Amino acid sequence: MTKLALHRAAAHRTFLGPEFGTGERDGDEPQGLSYAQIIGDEKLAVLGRSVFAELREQFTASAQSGDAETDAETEYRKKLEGWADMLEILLEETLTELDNIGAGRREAAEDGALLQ
Amino acid sequence: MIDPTLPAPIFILAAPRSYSSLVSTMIGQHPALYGMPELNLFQCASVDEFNTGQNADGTPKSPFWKSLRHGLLRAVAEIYGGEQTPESIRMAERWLKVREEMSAAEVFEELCAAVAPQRVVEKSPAILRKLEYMQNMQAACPNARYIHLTRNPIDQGKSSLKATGGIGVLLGMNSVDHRGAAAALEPQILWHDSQVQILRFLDSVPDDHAITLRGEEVINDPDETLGALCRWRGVSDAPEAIAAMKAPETSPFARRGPINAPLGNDVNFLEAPEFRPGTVTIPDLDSPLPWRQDGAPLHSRVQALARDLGYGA
Repeated sequence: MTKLALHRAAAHRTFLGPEFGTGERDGDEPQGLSYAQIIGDEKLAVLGRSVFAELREQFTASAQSGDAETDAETEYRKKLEGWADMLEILLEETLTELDNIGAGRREAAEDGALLQ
Repeated sequence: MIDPTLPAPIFILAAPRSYSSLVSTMIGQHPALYGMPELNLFQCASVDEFNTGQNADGTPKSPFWKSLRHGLLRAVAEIYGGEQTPESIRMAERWLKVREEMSAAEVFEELCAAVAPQRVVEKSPAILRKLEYMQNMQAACPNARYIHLTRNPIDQGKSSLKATGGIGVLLGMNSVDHRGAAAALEPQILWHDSQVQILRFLDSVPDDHAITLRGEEVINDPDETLGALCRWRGVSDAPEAIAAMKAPETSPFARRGPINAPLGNDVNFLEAPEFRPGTVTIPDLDSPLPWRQDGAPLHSRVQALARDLGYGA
């Protein structure tokens, strides 16, 4: 009967990356790369451009094969568009009403000034 | 620290492309366990950090943070709303908004309590980026159990180069050979340094709180390996339980989520979540690497580490 145990591999506690030129020394964490570091380095920028181009292809293909909008998603999008239309109408009506109130108050103020 | 009377969670620690989506979902399908999608909570001190994607000093957590939120949104929608729909995801957003002053540990505790007596199973590969994140997890859950899930470095490297998005992870994690005239992706760096990061963390975990699990053994002999896993955690290893674990596609998180939170796991797994038992042969560790133009084998340190993790003689 199999019994699972922990392999501590105690001889392995330093990172490998520096041996491939990822940095000068072993650090506290594995060394990641930011977009700025990639495009700011001549060699990395060449690799980065080819990786980004391939990723664009991968995700475009994925989107075309399996990411078409489902009926539920269409229904939800239409519902959101309906809410957006309604909110736009409400916003327009509210702004118009505020304009009317403002105009009314200005008129009243002008009338009051004339009466004094 | 979460309530110690709650069932201690199980966290899976693995390098990318190491069967972690498949295996964690399989384990989470045991009737006594609850498999979460990738929550990515312990990379945040507070829920506000999770919501905004910004660290306390205002720096962004990750260029992909918006997608990294999907798992927790889907979990909240499923657990509290009983469904994953655009509306329940919006509910989950509000659920998180009103908890913005809570700590990540408090929210994790709330989720553990909501699914108890089932025990939470979770993996968030991005947690390997910093030891501090794993320490946050350990501080929140001192009784947690850990599975160090592995895959042999040659197959893991091939998979990293082939899977959708895999090369982006390699580049972002600086799994790059800088030594030649041109820089080239070198997946064995990510394999090695991910294992080292996990091993460094596990140095602070007692022997009986963690195991090493070779993913190939789950594929090659699921009944025996999953049975051993059940016995380790003290849950039933009855045939019905093992059968449930061999049906990961029945998890509510083993498919794309709604339009406003479609991910929460590796996109390759979400497209094809079924378990396909088979025979995985471990390649010779000193054979020429298929991705290297110079025909070099794995670095000697990678070979040595792989052997110490149970691969090869």
